[in-house]
Amino acid sequence: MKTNPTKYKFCLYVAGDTQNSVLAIENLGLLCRQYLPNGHDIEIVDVLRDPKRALADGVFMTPALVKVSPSPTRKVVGTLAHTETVLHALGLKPIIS
Amino acid sequence: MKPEEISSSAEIENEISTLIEELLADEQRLEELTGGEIDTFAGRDGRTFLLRRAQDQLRHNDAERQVAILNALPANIALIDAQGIIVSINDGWRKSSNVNVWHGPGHSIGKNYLEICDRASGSYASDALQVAVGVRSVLSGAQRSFSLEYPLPSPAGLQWFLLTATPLFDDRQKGVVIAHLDITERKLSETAVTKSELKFRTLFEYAPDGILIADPSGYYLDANTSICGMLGYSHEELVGLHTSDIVTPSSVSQWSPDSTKKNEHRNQVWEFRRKNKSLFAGDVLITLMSDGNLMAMIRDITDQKQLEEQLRQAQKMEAVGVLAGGIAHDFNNLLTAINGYSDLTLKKMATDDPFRKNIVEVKNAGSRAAELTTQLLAFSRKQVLKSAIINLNSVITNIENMLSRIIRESIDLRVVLEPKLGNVRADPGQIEQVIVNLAINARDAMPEGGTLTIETENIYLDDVYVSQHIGVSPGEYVIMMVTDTGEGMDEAQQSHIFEPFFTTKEVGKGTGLGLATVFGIVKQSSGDILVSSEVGRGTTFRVYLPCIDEAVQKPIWGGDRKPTYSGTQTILLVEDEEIVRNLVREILRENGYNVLAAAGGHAALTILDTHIEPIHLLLTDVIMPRMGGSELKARVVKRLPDIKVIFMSGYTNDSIGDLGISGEDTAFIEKPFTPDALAQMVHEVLGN
Repeated sequence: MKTNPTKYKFCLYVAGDTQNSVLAIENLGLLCRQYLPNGHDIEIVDVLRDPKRALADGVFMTPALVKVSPSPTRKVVGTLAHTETVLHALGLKPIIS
Repeated sequence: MKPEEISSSAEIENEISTLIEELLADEQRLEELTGGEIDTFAGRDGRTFLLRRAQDQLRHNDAERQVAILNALPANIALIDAQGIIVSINDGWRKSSNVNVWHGPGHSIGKNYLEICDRASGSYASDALQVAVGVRSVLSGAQRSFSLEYPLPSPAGLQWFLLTATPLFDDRQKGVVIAHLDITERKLSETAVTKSELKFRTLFEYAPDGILIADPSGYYLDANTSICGMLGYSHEELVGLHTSDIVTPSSVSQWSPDSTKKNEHRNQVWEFRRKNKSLFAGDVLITLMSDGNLMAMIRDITDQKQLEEQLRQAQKMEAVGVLAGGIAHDFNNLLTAINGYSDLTLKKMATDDPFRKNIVEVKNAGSRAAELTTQLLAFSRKQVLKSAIINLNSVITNIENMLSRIIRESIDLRVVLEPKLGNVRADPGQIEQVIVNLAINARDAMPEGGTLTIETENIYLDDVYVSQHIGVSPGEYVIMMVTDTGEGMDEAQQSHIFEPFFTTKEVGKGTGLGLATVFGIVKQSSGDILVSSEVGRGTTFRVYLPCIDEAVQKPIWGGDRKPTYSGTQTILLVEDEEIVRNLVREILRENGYNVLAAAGGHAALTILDTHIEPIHLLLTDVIMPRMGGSELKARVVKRLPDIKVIFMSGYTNDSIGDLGISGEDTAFIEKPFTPDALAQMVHEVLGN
């Protein structure tokens, strides 16, 4: 079994199957498949079902992506459509380039 | 409303519209700030606010899914409201091919479904009406749900539907979901299964063989009509019984589950016990069924076994008959000599000769021996019957007095005769013999006295009787029953009583030929004899003789004659048995005849060649080596067309027929004969 020393763990906060949330899920999937083919772990939290979780994690808008590990923790709000922006915001860009 | 209230409500209205504007503006601003990329935001207290756009999307998604689910269902579905108005329909309903009936595209949103059902006409009107009543009772809450299976004619044949009406209650509305599900396939297969079940049930019930279904441990689960009849149990009684309840232990032990699994258990004969404890033999075939149960098919072979037993018995009697006939023939030759020489000697002996009584004893013993051989021949059916059309009633009446003398005083003789009894063809003398023998048999069975009953009746033997008895043809018969109230016989004795030399009497008390003789005479008269007996109750013999539609022939009675049987003609005597030849020659010479004796056909023909004087009579044995009597007669007659012929034989009319020596011009004398009888016949044939 392959092991990856830098395993990325994300938490994506969405609101049911609203249009932006659906887009965010799709875009995150694409991004992970393209840039992190070996190691990522995505947890999706629906704030309509679990509003307290979002509050506890300091998320006030959806869709919102939180990079849980490796630290530092980063947060991106929106549909994650602009890949470059997202990569920068998550601190992934320097590693890749 | 007071003026101040009016003004305050206007203020509130103003404030509300201001707040809404602010809310919309805030929302607009949020969209601008986030580029329209967010759906929710949370207040600091944790409450989540959905933006209006997101709310619309969620509602829309939800509705779409529900519609998709409804459309995917293989049923025609409609939602009606409390008044029966169709509120919503699925694609199935919309696209149904049932255009003109009480559900389907003809009845779209806005129409009143209950009224449609109420107004339905045609073959489905009563079903529709039932539905209207059912749906109303669901709407009123009187019934939790309603369902109905109903048929619907269609161009492709009859279609079947299942209608369900399920209540729909929520805060806002009250209604019923109506679903029509096409169940034609299920109905067809149900019908097919029912038909198939009916077909096999009929086969099972009406099979001529008995059929039992047993679970693997041998308890019966089902039984058909035939086996119930065979065993005497009702279906209810038989189901639940175990194999050991109806099959004897030795039969059960023949079977093992393995033998059936390996299909080794083919037809076997088992012994079954009926409800009344009687037994019968059944041919059994056991099959392992796919559900693990066992099926046994049983055929009652009692009749078959009885027929086999009868055939064996008939064959045995036939064989014994042939044997007895052969022995009797040889004895007859010897007895002819013994008796003949005794007669001749007595004639020549002085009346005071001291040896005369010895010869008389020899003659008496010879006569008894001759009677015995006659009986043997009767049994072997090889004696000459003098058949005539007779009525059994007359025969019985004629010998009734004699019978009274034969039986003891302690025995009552009852004679019950059918006044309109049919005639039969038989030898009256032989039939007398039959009655006498049966009477003697009955007498000996009743040493303590009792009743001997002789009855006659007309009877028709049908195909059923004939199929169960060997050697009998169907038709009208006359039956004579001879019944005693004596000791009776067990089955083993009954199976042997017609065999010669079988006797239940003490040694020396019976010859064992009485019933054998009866059997022979009856069989030779194309009849049948049956015995039924019960130990301690008595015995009945039933003699069946074929009824003949001809009038009784009156016997011609001749007066007593004082016979003189002498003559002077020349007789050619041919007999291979020397002892008989010598006797006959002596008898004929005693009576004045000129005798030319030959030991066989060829010797006789030589005599014919050399003898110049006329020869008047050919007296020949029938069965001789090389040339038989028949052939000899033919060759002699060729040369001497006017010669008279007499055949002598210890054989039978059957044999005579076979040997071609029957006919009106043929005289026949049966051995053993007395000198007088021979002399009389020769005398008559020569026309003196």
